[in-house]
Amino acid sequence: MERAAVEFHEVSKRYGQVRALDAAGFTVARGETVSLLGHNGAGKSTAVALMLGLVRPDGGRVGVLGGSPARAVARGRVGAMLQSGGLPDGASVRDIVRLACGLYGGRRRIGEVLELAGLTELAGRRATALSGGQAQRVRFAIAVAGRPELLFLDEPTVAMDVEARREFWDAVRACRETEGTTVVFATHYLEEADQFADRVVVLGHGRVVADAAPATVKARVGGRIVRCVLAEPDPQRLLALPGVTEVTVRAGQVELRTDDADRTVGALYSAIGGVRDLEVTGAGLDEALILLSSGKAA
Amino acid sequence: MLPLVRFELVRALRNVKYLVFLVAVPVGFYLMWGRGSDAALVAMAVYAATGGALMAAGGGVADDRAQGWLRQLRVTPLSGARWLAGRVVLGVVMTLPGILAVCLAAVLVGHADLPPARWAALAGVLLAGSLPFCLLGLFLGLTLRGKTAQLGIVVVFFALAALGGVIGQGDLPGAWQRVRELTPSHSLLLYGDAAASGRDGRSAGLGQAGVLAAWTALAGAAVLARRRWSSDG
Repeated sequence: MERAAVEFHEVSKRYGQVRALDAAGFTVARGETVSLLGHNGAGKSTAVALMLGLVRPDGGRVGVLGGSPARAVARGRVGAMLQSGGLPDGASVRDIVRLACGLYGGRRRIGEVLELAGLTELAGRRATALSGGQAQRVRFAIAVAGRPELLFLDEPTVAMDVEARREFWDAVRACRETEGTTVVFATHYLEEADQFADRVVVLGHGRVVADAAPATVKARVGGRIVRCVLAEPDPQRLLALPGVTEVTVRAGQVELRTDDADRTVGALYSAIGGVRDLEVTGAGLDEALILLSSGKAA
Repeated sequence: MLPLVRFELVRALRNVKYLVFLVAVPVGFYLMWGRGSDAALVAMAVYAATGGALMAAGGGVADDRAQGWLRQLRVTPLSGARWLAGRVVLGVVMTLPGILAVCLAAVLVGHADLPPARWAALAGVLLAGSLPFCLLGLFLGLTLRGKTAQLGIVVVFFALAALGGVIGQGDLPGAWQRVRELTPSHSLLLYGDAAASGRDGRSAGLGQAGVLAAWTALAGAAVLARRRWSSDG
């Protein structure tokens, strides 16, 4: 039995003064779908670049499909959609898909790949005349043209609307189900990670700050923030309100983290009263990650 | 590598500007000024060969880099070495439309009447001699950015064509004539003339072979150095 699809062992990578990854470690089992979640600059793209052999780690070890990343790529066992990857001028969608099929040694037919990526109707179109979402589909087509065992998707749905996003994930799911493809995708959408991943690896400041099932991560980083001003805030009573998981009080300014904002707000008015300047916001992923990195939410 | 060459050929042949510049221009020059002259036939065939090689191998590389297309290719099984080889093959193959068009114009309109062996020798010299131009174009494409790359290739092309005596007439003044003898375009012109007139290539002198070899080695080394250090390709 072959080893894990991806092994990331104490991996560090610096770009000048910036520490992109700092002794980050995780593994991805074969057949698993894992999401790398984090805000911009958390190290997601660096992790993907390392797993593709595009950059070398300064420390630690990266293994892909039992060998080096470069070897897995050279053998066509890996497909990737890069955030920084682009499409060429002066070529049609069909030209590009034909090239991709050829580079992977004809493991799939051109028509099959066009179909899989939902590009059949667009085959004659110039790649440079496509919308952002359509261009992403062409990049997906390149990534799956070789029937890869392992698929890397770096922020794959970033230029897509809701409908395009749904279609995109349907296509990924089809690969996963028919081929048993292992999928690693980087995203900063918590929902995407929650819906499509078996497991979520949360990166913050180059470190793995959580590695758990989506539901667990969601419970930790999801939820809402309720802010208000109270005359005499009592942290103990506030923490006892329904849904509240954390309380911060600064000079009458109250900040409550809650997983049920409706009930929390209701109770705030009924049980405490004297509420001014109430504001409910989504707990942004950024804030949640800062929290996770500092270890408070764990 | 073959899928890449095929892909790039389709892309290049769809590029109208490119075809005008490399096919219509030398044919036009030949028809306007050189009809009936074998020297003009050779000069315009060299124009087409050197221009075709420079542009096909190097043109578009800067854009491909800027748009992230090369980065995308790097995560396919296509190795960097095979990408380079593909570009060189492409450059050599893309000299053909221009060379053929000039030769065809010479036969049909200029009544050029060379024995088949001399046509073959001329084509062989031009194909082999386009190698340093491919490498030079590739180096420029890997080094310069965006529009500067296209412009740079055109400037280098015309500079070599003018210095080498591919375009323009007569000797250059003083020291420039010695510079001319160090240009690959001039060497190619001399070998082309020898092939078309049925003379032994050695009549062009061993020095000229040395010039072509030196340009090939230099441009090749520059391309490899550039590949090694560039992280964006």
